[in-house]
Amino acid sequence: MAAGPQYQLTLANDLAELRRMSAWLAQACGEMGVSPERAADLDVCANEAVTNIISYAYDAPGNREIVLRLVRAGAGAGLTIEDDGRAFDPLAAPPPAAPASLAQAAIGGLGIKLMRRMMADCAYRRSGGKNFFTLTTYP
Amino acid sequence: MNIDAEALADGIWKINLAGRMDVKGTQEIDVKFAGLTAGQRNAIVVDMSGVDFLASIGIRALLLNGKAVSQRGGKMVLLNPDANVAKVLEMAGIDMLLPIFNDLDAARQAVTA
Repeated sequence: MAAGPQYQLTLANDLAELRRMSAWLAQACGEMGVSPERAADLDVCANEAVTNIISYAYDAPGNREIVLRLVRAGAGAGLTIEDDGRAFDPLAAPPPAAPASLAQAAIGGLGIKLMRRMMADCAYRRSGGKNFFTLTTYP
Repeated sequence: MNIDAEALADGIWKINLAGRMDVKGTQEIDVKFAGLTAGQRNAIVVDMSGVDFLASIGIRALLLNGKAVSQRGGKMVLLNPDANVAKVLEMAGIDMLLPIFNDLDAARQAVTA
């Protein structure tokens, strides 16, 4: 399979960057011909993953860079998120048990649950002192 | 995001949400949303039709407020989420906790039953 174009975006470790990320994803997915439904899935999961990284991957405050690379993956898309925070697997926390009632509902762990259920594959690796987390949509 | 509330008949309040319910959007409406679901309002329909994106932080806001209403014996339901938003609610398993309706009359009946 010939490699298609790769789109790249660099974000600061600031939650205010999420809107810029979503706008970039929407445009790039559109240009690559990814369906609006799969682009929407990826937007949700990228929001969850990058929010987790910004919130939990850094031991000290300071300006850091998060690099996003988007490629076509079959009929869908693959997004790799690279950061230089401490070793941090966005899926490491166990998924919450299905709450039986509203009163018992645990508030939290929802982002991980969404990534696991909305993506065809989520893969984490640590390499060269950096974290690489790849979200792959369904076709 | 934008949020407002309107009183319907039978003591029902409809809360209208609009915009992207991501980190930024949810933070914009969080305090007002909690205020609108507090007090004596025990029959609440949250109109989601203007919400075009939902992330887990937005689901948390819906759950927290739904939980508060439920704990004092009230009912809160969701109305008319678009397809992408409905999918996120379903994937999160929240449709089991906060019932979703695509018809205002059915939603009104559900919160006053």
